[in-house]
Amino acid sequence: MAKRKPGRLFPIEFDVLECGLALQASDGSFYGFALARALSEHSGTELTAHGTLYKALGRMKDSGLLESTWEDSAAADAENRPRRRLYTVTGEGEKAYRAEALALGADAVAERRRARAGGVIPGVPLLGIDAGGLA
Amino acid sequence: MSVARTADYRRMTAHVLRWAAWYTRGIDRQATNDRLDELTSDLYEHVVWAESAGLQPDEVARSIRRRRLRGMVDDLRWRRAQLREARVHDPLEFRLRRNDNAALAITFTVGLGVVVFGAFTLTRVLSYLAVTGDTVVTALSGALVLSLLLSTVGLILLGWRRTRFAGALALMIAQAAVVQFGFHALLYGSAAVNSFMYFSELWPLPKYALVGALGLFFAAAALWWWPSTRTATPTLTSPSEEGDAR
Repeated sequence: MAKRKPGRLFPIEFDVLECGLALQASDGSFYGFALARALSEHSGTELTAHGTLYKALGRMKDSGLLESTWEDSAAADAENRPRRRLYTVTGEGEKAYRAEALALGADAVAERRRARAGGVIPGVPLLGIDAGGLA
Repeated sequence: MSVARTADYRRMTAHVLRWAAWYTRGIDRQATNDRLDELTSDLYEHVVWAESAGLQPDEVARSIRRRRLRGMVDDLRWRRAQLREARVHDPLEFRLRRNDNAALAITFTVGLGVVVFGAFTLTRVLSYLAVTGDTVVTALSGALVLSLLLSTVGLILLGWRRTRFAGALALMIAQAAVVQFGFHALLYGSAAVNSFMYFSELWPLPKYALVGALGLFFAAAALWWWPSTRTATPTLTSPSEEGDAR
């Protein structure tokens, strides 16, 4: 298993924070599948695996980068669907994201985004994460 | 037809939840419930999205299967981390569970040894019967077969937590018969044992010692797994924050 360098984020954590901040800006919070979709939209690849996604979210929550809360049952029942676990990026998470972007360097971040933006899943709108908007 | 109603989708979601039930076994109940609820929500959102994107049911099922398969290693790593955390927070519970697994492994191995010994002596006595046609061992062979059957049933009963005590009890009875009839069978089926029995005054001692030791061992195993009256246990964990326990 890959070891984390002190003060650094794993690539998936960086991506989760980036997409999570964008989703949070529009919807106030995000949930697992919405995040998986956002991650895949920008990579043009498949949806993130269940195990990879929820293990990363759990680890980030435990380390204080994310906060989570279960959606009110009444809201879910009204839409006749299972409850969602809603995540928000904490102040610490946002700080860690900015620090990681700085450590990677503007070129590396831009390169990462260009690589991720190589393909788009047909029929699914992009979230419109601005390359320079959050860094 | 709605994707959610297709057999492919239902089968694949059942696989995901069955796999999740497997890798969350023995893990903190709150963490398990959180993971299962989150997966249920994910699978639902996946199919809603797939329907709105116009994906075919088989494509959705394939996508869910790939998500499950690609994440398996991470699921197992998550499980290992959860178990490590449980060991830190509740060492007594962890040690009890580990001791239980060790007790099961040892009891099963000893029980298997009894079955193997019984099967070996049965083959010897049957080959003696085939060569000599001496019908005096027919009843002995029948008794050995019955004891072997009982010990095999005992081994099978060890497979379920609720029936383990019965399995140990069955083995406690079966081992006495297997050893008794087995040694008797070797009197006919083994020249070395035959010679030892005739020329040593102490020959019954090893047999009785073995029967006694095995009897005590399986009795201890039966007591270890004896069903206890269920009592209410106080919850030691503090209430979760915002419905999130960890």
